[in-house]
Amino acid sequence: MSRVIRQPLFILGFLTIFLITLASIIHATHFDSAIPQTEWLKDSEGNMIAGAPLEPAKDYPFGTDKYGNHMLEKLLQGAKYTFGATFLTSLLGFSLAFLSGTLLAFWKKPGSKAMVKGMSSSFYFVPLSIIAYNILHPVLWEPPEGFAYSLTGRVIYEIIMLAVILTPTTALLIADETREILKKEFIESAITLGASPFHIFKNHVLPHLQPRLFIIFPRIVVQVLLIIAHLGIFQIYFGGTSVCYDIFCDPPMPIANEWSGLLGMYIKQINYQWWLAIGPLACFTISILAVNSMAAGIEKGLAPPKLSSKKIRSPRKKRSKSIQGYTVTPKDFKRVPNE
Amino acid sequence: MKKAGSSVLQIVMIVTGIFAISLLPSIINEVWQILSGFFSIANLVYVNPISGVERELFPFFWNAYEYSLIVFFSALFLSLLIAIVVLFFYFLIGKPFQLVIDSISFVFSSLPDIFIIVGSQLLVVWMFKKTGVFLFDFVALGEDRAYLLPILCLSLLPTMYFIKTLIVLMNEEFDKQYVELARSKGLSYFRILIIHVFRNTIVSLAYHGKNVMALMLSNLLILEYLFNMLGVTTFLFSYNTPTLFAVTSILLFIPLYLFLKMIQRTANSITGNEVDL
Repeated sequence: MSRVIRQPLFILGFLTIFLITLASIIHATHFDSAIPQTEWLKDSEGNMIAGAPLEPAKDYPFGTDKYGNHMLEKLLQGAKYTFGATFLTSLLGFSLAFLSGTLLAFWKKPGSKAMVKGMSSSFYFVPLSIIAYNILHPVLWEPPEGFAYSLTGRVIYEIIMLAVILTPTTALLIADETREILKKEFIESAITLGASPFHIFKNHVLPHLQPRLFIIFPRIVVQVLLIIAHLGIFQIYFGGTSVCYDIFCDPPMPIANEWSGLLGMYIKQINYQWWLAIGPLACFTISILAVNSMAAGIEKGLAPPKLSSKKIRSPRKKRSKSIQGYTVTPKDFKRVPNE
Repeated sequence: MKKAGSSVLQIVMIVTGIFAISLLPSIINEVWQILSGFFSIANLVYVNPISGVERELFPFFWNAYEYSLIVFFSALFLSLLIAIVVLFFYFLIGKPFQLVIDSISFVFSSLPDIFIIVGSQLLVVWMFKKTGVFLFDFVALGEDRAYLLPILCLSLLPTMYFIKTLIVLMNEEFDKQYVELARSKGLSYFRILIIHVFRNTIVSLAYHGKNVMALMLSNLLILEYLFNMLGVTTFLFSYNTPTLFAVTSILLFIPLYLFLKMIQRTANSITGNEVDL
């Protein structure tokens, strides 16, 4: 484990996520989540030269929205919600997948197993985001008479549903890994000695499965981040989309300044006010990159250290080796006395 | 203690059963609706969500279907081609190039698809503003279809995936004993790389086919949305009824499955290894 923590890629990814979360929390506790406003710019003589939305500048690195709110602070405010939701969802999805995956691996009946496996495979052929969209749209899209459920209810519903959607493919992956372990010889001897399936699972499978799980979990986190971003683009924001049905209306709004909401709100204006959508997009990209590099660090740290660096030789090196001829002379043979 | 546990389990089972029974009527209802939709597939209709007009699905659907499949498969083949070309150079040129490719494929394969699509659109607009040259049509409008930029965007992530996995697979393959044998027989490096190692890794790549398909399908969805393409995925969520969803997903699934099966068959006949989907 200590080798994992020492991997530079892991440290880099972890620090990025950690610092963003920390900044978001400090912004909430010490600055009361305040979002500064700059509605217009004046030159030195006091004439107005520009009104919101303003392009990125030194004071507001991500620009401002059309009310002059600074995007950087908005993104900071949203970070904790996005990360919290992602983490909870992936944790739940991972536990569900772990349970069903190992159960599937221990399942002995070949007929029903093939059925379960085949049906879970169908999740490979329908994009997950569209399933999520169709399930979440009725609950999260505000109808004219207002939301049917409270905010907590909607958040719980969304987290559970996303976790359930993620489960089948991950469960298949975990089942495959577990089955590989169950094929090993020591399992056979344990069964011969009378071990129960639970005993085998706890004492033999789990220790071997654990490193693989550390690699699978970050992948789920990335998947959740991607699905949440996709949903944002389809205007299903986390925790609900508040829609206004009056005549003069703002476009559908997210409940909080959560990243997918910001992304979905501004993606349509990408060609006039590019900085508005680039901010949340950059945030998603950076966090996905960070999680992926953490995963790469874990993978490197858990791989058994190579004894000899047997790399592919380039043709030039090979040739220099093969040029040295070797001829056999009678001196190379030693006479062995016959017994 | 054990008794309490078993009765808790019993309660849980019973409650789950009651849930299942109470869900059953609505599930049967839905299933029946979807199935009866299949019986009358020729006069299936979709409702335009904005105007509320009902139209017949079928002649119109094939148009979108063709468009999506052309984009999908061209992107797939393009990415395989690029990946293979890059890999040849990867194994022939030395260390520094390998490091560069490794880091490029790592960074690009972790980029979200939205970033790539939006980035490419912005790049085209920016180029247009700077130089006045309009490189690609990037938004499909009505009858006009954009091909080049969507295909390029869709092929980027699979290319990186192919490069990443093929590098790992080929490195594994190079460590195997038959490579040593071939070397000791004096076969040239090119021959070993192209004929032996490469063929065997393509076969192991068939294992990853399903993942690549899943990746590309989810990219296709967001691509068609952001490029405003009238493709298959439009039917998956804008005109949203269960029957329509089922018909569209099944029609989308069939060519992909046939393609995967074909690869599997070819892989089997080349090496004799069973490749399971």
